[in-house]
Amino acid sequence: MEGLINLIIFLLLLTLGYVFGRITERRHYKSIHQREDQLRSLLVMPKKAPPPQYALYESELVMGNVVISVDYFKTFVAGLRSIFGGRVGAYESLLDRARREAVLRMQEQAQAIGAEAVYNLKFETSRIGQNAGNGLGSVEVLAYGTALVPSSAYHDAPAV
Amino acid sequence: MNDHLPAGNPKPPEHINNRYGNPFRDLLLLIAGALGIIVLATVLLAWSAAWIGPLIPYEWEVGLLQSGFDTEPESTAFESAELEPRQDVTALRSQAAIEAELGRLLTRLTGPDALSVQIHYLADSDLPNAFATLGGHIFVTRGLLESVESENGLAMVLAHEYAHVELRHPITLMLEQLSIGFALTMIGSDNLAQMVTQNTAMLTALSFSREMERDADELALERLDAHYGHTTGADEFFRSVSERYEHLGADSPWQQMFQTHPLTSERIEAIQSTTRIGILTPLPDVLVVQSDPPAAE
Repeated sequence: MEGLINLIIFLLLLTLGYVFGRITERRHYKSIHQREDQLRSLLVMPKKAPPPQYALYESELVMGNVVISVDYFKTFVAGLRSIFGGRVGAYESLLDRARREAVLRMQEQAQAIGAEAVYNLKFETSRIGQNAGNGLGSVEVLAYGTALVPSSAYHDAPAV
Repeated sequence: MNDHLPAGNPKPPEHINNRYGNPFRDLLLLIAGALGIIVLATVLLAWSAAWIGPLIPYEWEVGLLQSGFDTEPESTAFESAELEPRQDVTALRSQAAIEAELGRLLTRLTGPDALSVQIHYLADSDLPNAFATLGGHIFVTRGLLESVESENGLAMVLAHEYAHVELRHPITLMLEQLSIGFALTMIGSDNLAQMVTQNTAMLTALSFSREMERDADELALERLDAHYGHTTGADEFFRSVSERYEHLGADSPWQQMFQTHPLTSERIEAIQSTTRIGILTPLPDVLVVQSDPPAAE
């Protein structure tokens, strides 16, 4: 009897994770694509040094930070993957979303201070709740870079 | 230095970093693979139990359950004897006498260098039954003693149960059940696994396979033949049981209890086909039990 209840709980969590995971993922990608289009002209470059046309621009650190939690369905699929190996697709799409969302947030911050481009883009990740044992953990993705703001715009911009 | 700047950020190509097409199919494939591995491992483990079991030293098997199991029947009897001294001391005494006599009978059958087994007499159980469990414990019910007419019939049952112990059937079954429990643990159902492994000692008594029963019957018949010079009366117990419960049909407690045992009629036939005629030995007086339970309670 107890085993049956556990099984039902497990299936419920799995279904909930699957349904909500799918809905949020679809919605999130839609929003990512939309916002990426909007911010396409705000250049994000991995290059360390800005080119000469930005020589007189002010620079400022901008960051975008995202914390995502894994749902039960993804954990279960990934757990099974640990038996067979191979791509953990369930986590790949999750982290792809996290990275792009982090960049978007960074761009939004850059836009708010009137920046024209962000150089020297870097990523950092860290785990949150790694002491939770087998429980569901979260992962942080931080994107940061040097925002280049035209001098005049820099002084007019509102404090962020 | 390249001063040319792009007009905008590039569109990242989709499905390179997020090629997560159909998670459900992924899940089904993985589950199918995992179940396949688990089933295979279980089948392999359970199958190998038949030859690993006999390799485990008998002393280990006895030691396995020494602490908890074997003192139980005696200690409970002793406790109740303290509560009602007069009546139960005699009951206890007759129980010990019966167990000793059964032990002597078994020793006569198996010879002196047999495995040491402990025989327990279940005076409260009307159901004609005998079973062998882990650690060389043989249980005999009062119902069994009532249902046999000669020593030969009883000897057959004892030799049969002893053959289970000697052929290491209980530990083989335990290994099989452990491997099922192991598989259930791998699936993640700890409760189910616990249920199976905890009830192992009990299940062992009831679920010997047909092959095990047949082997035990064969060995027991050999012993009977060697000791008495014939196998008359070997089917006594089975016949009396099937007669007694015939009218009850499939609902009888006997049928329910022995669902996993080979059909009694099948075994009677097998025994009768090898029977060598001889003269029956009467039961020792100690083992002659009245049909009605003594009015001790």
